[in-house]
Amino acid sequence: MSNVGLILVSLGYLTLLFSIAYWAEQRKRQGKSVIHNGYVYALSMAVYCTAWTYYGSVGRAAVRGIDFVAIYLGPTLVAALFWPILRKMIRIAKTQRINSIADFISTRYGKNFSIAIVVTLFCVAGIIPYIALQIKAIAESFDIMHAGRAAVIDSSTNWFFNDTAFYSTALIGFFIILYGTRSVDASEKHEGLVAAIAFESVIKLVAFLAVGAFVVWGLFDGPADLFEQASQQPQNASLFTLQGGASGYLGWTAMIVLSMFAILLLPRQFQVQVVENTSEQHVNKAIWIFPLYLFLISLFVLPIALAGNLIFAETGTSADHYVLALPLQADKPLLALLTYIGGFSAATSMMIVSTIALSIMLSNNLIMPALLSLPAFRNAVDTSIQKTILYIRRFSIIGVLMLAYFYDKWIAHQQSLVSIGLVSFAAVAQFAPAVLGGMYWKQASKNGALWGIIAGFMIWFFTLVVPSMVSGDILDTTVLTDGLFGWSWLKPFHLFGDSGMDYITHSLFWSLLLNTGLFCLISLYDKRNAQEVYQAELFVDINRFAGVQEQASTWRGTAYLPDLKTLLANFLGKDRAESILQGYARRNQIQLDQKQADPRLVSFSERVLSGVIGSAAARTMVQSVTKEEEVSMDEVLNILHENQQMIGMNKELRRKSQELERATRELTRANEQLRSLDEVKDEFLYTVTHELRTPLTSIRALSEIVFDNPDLPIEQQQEYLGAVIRETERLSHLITQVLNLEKYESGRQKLHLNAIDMGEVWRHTAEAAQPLLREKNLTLHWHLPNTMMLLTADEYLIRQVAYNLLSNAIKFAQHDIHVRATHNYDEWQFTVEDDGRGIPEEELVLIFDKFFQAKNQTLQKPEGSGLGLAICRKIMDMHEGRIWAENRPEGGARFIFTLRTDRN
Amino acid sequence: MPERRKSPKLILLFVILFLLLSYPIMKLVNLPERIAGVPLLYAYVFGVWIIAIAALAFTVEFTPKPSSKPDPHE
Repeated sequence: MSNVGLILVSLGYLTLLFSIAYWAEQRKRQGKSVIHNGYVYALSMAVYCTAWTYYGSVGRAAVRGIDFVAIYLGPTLVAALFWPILRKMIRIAKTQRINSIADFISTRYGKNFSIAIVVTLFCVAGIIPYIALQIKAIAESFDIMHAGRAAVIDSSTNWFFNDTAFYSTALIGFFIILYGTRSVDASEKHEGLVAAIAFESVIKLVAFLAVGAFVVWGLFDGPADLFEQASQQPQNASLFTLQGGASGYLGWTAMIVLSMFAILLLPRQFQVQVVENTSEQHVNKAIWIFPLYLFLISLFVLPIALAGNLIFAETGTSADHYVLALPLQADKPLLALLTYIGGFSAATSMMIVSTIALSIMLSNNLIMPALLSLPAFRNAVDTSIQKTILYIRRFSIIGVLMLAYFYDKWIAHQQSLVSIGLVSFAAVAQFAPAVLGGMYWKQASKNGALWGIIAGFMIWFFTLVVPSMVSGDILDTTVLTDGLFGWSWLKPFHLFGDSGMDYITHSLFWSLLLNTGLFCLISLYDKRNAQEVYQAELFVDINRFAGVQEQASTWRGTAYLPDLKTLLANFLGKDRAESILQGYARRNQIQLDQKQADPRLVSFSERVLSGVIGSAAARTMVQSVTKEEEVSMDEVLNILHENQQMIGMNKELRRKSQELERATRELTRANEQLRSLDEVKDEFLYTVTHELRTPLTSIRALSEIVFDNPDLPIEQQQEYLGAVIRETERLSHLITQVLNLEKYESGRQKLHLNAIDMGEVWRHTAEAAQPLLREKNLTLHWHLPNTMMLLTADEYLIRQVAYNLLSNAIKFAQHDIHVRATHNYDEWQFTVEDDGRGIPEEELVLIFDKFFQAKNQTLQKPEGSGLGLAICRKIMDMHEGRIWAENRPEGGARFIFTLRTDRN
Repeated sequence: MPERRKSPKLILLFVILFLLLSYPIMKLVNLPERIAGVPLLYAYVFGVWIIAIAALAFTVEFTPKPSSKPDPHE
């Protein structure tokens, strides 16, 4: 393919990345984040798969078989621990505004400068070769595409302007600067970048799967055929098993362990997993999607390696180039182009994230502290410092890429891809004791971590970097064969005369042994200062102290608010500084109008600054504008625990007050109920007395007339006395009814349940009502079945209901009264109908209330106590029956009550 | 809280996987035989791998969600 075409494709791909990043940032501005979901988070973690995975896995598999898989099994294992471990890291990083792995370690060990510097330097030393590896991969794949075959062109003599590696590096650098240095606050998310990385993860997976499928089913007749052909040749058949006996198994396990550390500690993984994480819930999805991604991208590695071995046997083609060389060999230029783009995306994604992570570390932990320690610079600190920080980051990015480029030119071109990658892994594994120990062991001390890391790195350097310097002709080979200074126990590959492990296992074992040993030993005997103790508590018990961070401060001393404001304004801009200070003050009820600053404001400012310049530098800056007093360790712990208790007590208090509120509400309700009951009682009494007074008044009037006029004619006297008797009857009837109703309502009336025949009940009732019927000249029509109507009920009470309804009907009827009985499923329904004037619609329900008639004096008042219907309803309630009234369409009212037949 | 239920399951899964992919068991399948044309060791490693992923997915997706009560530490 032509040079121009390839460059255009690569440029086009980069432009696509730019537009995706731009689009994501636009969406973010509209509040519709594209990266705020678990899938994108998991995909962004796949930045783990670099050009090393893409080209290098095949290279390693072609020589050693399946053992490359260990690099992807390790992260799968750790994925099972993401929920406890990674989530804890995310929580810690969020509360402390941590923005890099170096910052994480330095914050844990008392925001210490020296440890931040050491970690940063070692990260740079460990990662630069890895970035160089990506540049090498891009350049080589470009050359292969250009040549159309897998012939290696030695490009190490091409410099800058006629070198493809240089151009691609420069372009990627431009992209990183554009989207990676948007805001001074490094703990802010790089929305666009993460979106681009996730996109690249999709591209590289699709491309690799395409090649794999093509090789297995296009070049061969499925996997069985491929493996069959491979098994014919002894050197390929040997790849089917793990070689090397005990040391082979040891190497396998060592690689798993190594990659387990790498997935948590590599600066680029820390960047996407912790710093760019937008919600810890996303970890859930990552737990299985990320391993699935690794599985898919590893699936075709062995088939491609074996196919390459078969097809390119004896041609001297480097196994690292099989992925690209196979489609080219088969004359599939489009597939080759897709493969090239996949590799390009694998390489660029790693370069982008690693470079940003390193540049933040470099600027925060090395350059800014150095600049801030210059009195001249510190005095000149003004609003332009934000720009300065951004420029420092940009120059760091350029610096990192330049270093990687030179490393590629000088050293890397002689090594295979995987060996460089493993060296980087072994470097970051040295942070494992300090990070993991620091997260779970409070006593871990700064000196322990520092010396452990330094010792581990010295072993790493000696066992892995020195040999590569030998092969790069920088050192003499005698170091390898005779040991350092001629001491035979100091040979880089055989420390202390050991020879049972491969060189990676060997290096990992000795470096981690010394590292962990020193870390534990020094930590046990070290005396930690207050700041360290405080941070240790916050890290290890993050779940308990998550709230304390925001509200507590262990800072003691004198600070002035204007100084703090100026400091924040210098780094964040005046408006932003003002708004976040006010926000914090409002949340925690701090007065901002005093001159002296609240200690909590000092701690808060320090945390905010940490996001911008790293925790160690932030601490120094805050110290420079305040007078801090020494706080004793006990005091620090006291403050911490007091605050934690206070939060606990607050929670308890809130719970208690909620309970109290609930109890009060219930009381109020009960009180209201009582009051309304009381009112009902009052009303009842009032009506009863009123009802009693009416007959009493007439009795008194009539008997006075008889008393005052002894000579009243006897007929007259008889008439008056008769009226008195009727009134007293009415009175006693009323009193009986009131007493009855009271008895039913209070529940004192016991039901005497018996089997009764309703026909019998109605006959008795009719007999009793006979005189009244005759008096008003009414006809009673029966509509009862001939059978017995057997029910279980209290006969006396039911008779009362029947009589009440019947006498009620008699009162209103003009000519006819109908009594009906119907059987519905499990109940009897009885109806008493009259042909009177009916009941107004709105009173159909109300008439069952006590004294309804009495209270509605406008009604033409019929005889009766006004309690009859209320008593009926009460009796029906006691029998679990229903009673209601309706108007007949042809005029008159209808009263219906029902009784269940299955009651016993 | 879900982590109380989820974490132990996940940690157990981690231990089992680590053992399945370590020396004594790996040695049992490290043979030059093939099943269905695929070398035994490849089939074993990739088989364990995909089952592990399924187990992880099952554990995180089907462990009951917490009640609506928010985590007091958040």
